[in-house]
Amino acid sequence: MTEISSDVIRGYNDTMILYLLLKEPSYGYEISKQIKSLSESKYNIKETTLYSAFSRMEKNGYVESFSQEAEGTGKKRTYYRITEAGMNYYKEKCEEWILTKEVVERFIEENYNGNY
Amino acid sequence: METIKNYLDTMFANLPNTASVLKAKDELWQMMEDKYNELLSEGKTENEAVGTVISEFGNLNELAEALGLENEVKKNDSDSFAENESKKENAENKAENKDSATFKSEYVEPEIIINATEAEELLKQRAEGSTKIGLGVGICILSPVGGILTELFLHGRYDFIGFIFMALIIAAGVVMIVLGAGAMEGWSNYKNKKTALSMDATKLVADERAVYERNHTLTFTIGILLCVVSWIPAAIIDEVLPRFSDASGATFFIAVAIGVVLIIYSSMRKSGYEALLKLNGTGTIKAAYEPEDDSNFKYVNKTAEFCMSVYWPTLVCLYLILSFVTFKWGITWIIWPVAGVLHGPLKKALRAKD
Repeated sequence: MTEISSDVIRGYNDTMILYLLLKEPSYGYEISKQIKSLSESKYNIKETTLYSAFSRMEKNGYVESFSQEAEGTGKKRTYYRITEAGMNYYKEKCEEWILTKEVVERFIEENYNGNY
Repeated sequence: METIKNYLDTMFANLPNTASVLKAKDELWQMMEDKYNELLSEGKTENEAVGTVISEFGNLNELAEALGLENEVKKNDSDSFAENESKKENAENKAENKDSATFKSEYVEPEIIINATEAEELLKQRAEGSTKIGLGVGICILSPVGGILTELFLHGRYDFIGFIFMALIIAAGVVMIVLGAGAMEGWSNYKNKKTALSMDATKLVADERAVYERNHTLTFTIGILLCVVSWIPAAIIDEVLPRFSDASGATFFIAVAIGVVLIIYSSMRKSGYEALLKLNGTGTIKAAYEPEDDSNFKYVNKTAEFCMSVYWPTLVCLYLILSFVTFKWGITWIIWPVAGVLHGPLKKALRAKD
């Protein structure tokens, strides 16, 4: 079975995370779970990838972190919320992807069988 | 759960114990714990859950940038492919860092990270150095005993012999102090460099400090007590054996010397632990292991700077002159605690406001 190459998807981890944060602030595991379920288990983001994305985006001002106790269990978690700059960045990335997809798609043959 | 915790500890063991590293570790732990609990609630066995969590953890290389430790993570990874990868990333980061100069000030990347083995060696050197320096100072303090004994046996006929004796003892003490300073050479490698302590090393130093703590209190207290009661044997001899009253001074110096050796030894060793652990203080790894970053320190004016630079040498002269002139060694040492207490506020008062 084909697997997603982490090199290719790397540029779009931020986009996925920001998309999920558009709806509501969230925390690490919740986001990784949502990515997995939205991608129908085709993409499983690693913890280190997720954390480095959070940390980079926080540095760039796309997200803000805050500490909050989880409902019920009372466990303290680091939550992230998207910022104004994050929303703009998300918009840019969406446009970039549409363009990328359009270009790359012209070179893709869906049922290529090895012959020409 | 323990296995996961151990796994994470191992992954982070050789990274410096800085704020960003701790934050990353804490947050990764949150995620792993969440995932583990969820897997269990889905009906997975403990082993399966641990296996999944660990296999999906990812790669430390990816965290390097978040932690500001590109070089360090690279060093820990012998895989040449990973090395090339992170070299590439490094080049990118350098370009990036130019725009993000404002972030740089928050986090200082360490130039050196002390690992557990190195920390152990430093502490060993500290123990040796403090023994030798303590003994050296003690020997210097003993030097008048040479004069006193000569006086006692030669009855003042050959004063110069006493002086030679004294000079020789002082020389021996100075040699000892120099040797002691030399024994701690390893410490100078970290002076004025941005140094951090790895997580492993931090644990080791903290554990050893805890073990040493009780020892320290005892040694230090005995040292102080010896100094405080140092005049008692002399007083007793003067009272009971007036024939030997010339020698009674010697007992005073011996008691003070032993006391000072204990005080110096125990405080130097203790400060060794403190200095290492301070690397992970609130300012994380701002600068060297020195308690304060003095490189930016400025006095209000040149006069103040000059006065402060001759503060200790002047006091040494004053102490020696006073002591030799009055020969009241039992009182003149008061100069030191007083000078020590005054030094801090004086320095602060004369500090230039930026």
